[in-house]
Amino acid sequence: MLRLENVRKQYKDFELDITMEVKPGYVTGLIGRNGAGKTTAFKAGLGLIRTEGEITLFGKPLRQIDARDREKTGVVLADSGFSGYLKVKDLVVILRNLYRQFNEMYFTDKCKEFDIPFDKQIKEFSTGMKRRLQVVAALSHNAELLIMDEPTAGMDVIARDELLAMLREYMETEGRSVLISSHISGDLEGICDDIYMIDGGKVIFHEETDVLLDQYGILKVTKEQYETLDKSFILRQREEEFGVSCLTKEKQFYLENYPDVVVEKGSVDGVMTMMIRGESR
Amino acid sequence: MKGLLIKDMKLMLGQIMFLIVLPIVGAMIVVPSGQLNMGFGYIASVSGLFAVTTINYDSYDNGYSFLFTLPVSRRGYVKEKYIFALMSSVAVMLAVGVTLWFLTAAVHSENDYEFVDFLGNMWSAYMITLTALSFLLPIFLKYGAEKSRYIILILCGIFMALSVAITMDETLGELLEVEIKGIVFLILDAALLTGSYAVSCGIMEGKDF
Repeated sequence: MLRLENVRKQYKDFELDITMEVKPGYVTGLIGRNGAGKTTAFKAGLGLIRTEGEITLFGKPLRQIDARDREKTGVVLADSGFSGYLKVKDLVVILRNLYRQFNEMYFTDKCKEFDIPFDKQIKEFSTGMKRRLQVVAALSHNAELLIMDEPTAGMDVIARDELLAMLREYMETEGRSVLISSHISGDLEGICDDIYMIDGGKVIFHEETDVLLDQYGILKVTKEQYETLDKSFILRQREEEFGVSCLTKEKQFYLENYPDVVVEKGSVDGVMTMMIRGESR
Repeated sequence: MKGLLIKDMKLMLGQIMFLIVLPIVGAMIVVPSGQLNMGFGYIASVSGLFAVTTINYDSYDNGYSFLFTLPVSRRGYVKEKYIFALMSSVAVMLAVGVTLWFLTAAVHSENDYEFVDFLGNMWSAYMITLTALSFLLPIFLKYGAEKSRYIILILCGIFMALSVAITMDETLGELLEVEIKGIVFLILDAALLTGSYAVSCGIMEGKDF
């Protein structure tokens, strides 16, 4: 669906250098700290910034993507949206004329369901409401690929759950894909098929979510236990007050061979913290 | 294209109060004296500036990033801006101009200012608007609303300095006293707008959002 290969973008004090892929039928998560390069990666994938390297969307080089191809994407951006001077009732007419497959009934029904006012300028909306509007618009024209940068930002728990349910419903149609970022790791654990972690503009970790949750673990060992530990499967380690935290992809090996060692189940937050703060062996 | 034109139309109608104020201010300039000619500069400038205001709305709050994720190419966006500017400037010009003509005719019934002459002058004013738009559009696309204001002020300053120079230098004045026929003006504007469009496409295609 979307592939970024050795994509580079140089800014004065930041460089993006990334290779990643969103496969057909996949929900791919992108996580990282603030300023890690998530939004830059999204913008690169959307052709909003000029980059070096190879970007392909729907199997075509990005420079060959035309307005028709763009109809097959639905986008939510963290720092941009519809003109604040428009009203939702204006958007209905605009979207009807921009997208050949715009589902007006779905759009208006979802707006009503989310209590999005039709007759108020968008600039007067709260952050969460603006985001809900973008999500509804992105889902309303039968897009094949959703690209969503922090779609749950500013939403309460209920709204977030509703949005994630909408994404699951969207993915029920075969061949669709989603690229999503969120600062709430629980959102990604529940919906993503694979996860990319980026830091300092580079991919530092990529794994299938099931593998991450099932096979990864964080060992909590004392210094004495650490000395006797088989370190063949330790990916990252970090000194703590109690001793050492170790990230492993072979949680089961340590559970079976070191029954005295505390092994925490792998989680997106835990793995990200270890990948960023920990040291490689 | 159609979706973008509707968007700009909606944005324009969102400024309905401003649209109402335009002929009122124009009437305050023109009607007391009965000199309709005084209003053409006003009509040309407000219609030209009004046509580029939607660019400000698009760029407001980093709006371009999202705009170009919609089924809109950068070249298509520029084309729409030019079409919308040409259409909206005609609409504003006619709405303001005709209102002023009727008001002036009603208040100063002694005036024998023919409607046909009025339309001829409106045409000239429109040609000036087109000339201005061919500069304003790329400037607004390149620099955005904030910086464009300063650039326009500088351009106005240069224009005024040139006017003073022409007034003071007889040779220069005579040189410019060549009457430009309507059709020649139109061809010149068409050439200017074509060049301006190409420059604007280059500006938008070279931008990061």
